Amino acid sequence: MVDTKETVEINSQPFGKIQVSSDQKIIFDEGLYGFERYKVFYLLSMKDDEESPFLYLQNGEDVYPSFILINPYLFKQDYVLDVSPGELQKIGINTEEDAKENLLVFVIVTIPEDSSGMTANLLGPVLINKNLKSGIQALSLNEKYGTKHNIIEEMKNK
Amino acid sequence: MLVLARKSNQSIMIGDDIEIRIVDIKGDQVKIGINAPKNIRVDRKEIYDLIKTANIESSKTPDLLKIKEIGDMFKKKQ
Repeated sequence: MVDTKETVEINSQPFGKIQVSSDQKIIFDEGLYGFERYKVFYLLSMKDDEESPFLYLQNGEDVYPSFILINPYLFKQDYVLDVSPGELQKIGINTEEDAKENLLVFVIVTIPEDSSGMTANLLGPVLINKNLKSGIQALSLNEKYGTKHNIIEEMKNK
Repeated sequence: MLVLARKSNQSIMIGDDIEIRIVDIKGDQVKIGINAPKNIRVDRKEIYDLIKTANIESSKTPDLLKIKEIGDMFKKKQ
C-alpha cells in the first residue's frame, strides 16, 4: 500500500492551529450523540505531555466540539466493554482477534471547575478501530453504567 | 407530529428502507419491531437524550494547564 500520510492544518480547541498527520484522522460515520453532523475527528495526544492519561478528540471541521478521552481501565480496572456486536461490526471489528489487535476503548471525560468532580461517561464509550481509523460512540448494555462516574471515586475502589 | 393508528402486526414504512412494526400490545406497553439499514441508529429516546446531554457538557474542553494538572495528579495516584 502506498503511504498516503500527509499533514493538514486544523483549528483545535486545546492547541489552536496545529499541524496534524492524516493518520490521526478518525471517521465517525454516525457522528457522536448530539453531534451527528460531524464525522471527521482527529485523535490528539497531549502536546509536551506524552504521559498524560488524556487524549483529545478534536472535530476536524471546526474548533467545537472537542472531547477529552481516557482509557477507562486506567481508573476502573473492572470496566467491562459490553456493546452489541453490530456496533463493533460498524467499525470493522468482527472477531475477537480484530478486537485484540485493533480496538481502542475510550470514555469521554467531563472536567468541571472543581476538577475533583471530574466524571467519565461509561454509558457511551468511544470505540476506535485503529487500523481502519473508524470510530463509533457505542451504547453500553451494562445497566450499571451511567454518564457520570466520578473518576477519583472509581480510583479509590479499584 | 404525524399520528397514525395501527393494530398489532401492522407496520409503517419510513422511506423505502425503514419499517416500524407493532409486534405486540399488552396493557400500557407496546412492543415495536424495527427494520432499518445498519447505518441508521436506533435508540430508546431517554438513553439517546442522556448521552447527548453528557456529550454537550463534555464538548467544551477546559484549558490545557488544567488538564496537565489533572493528568499529573492522575500519575501520582497510579
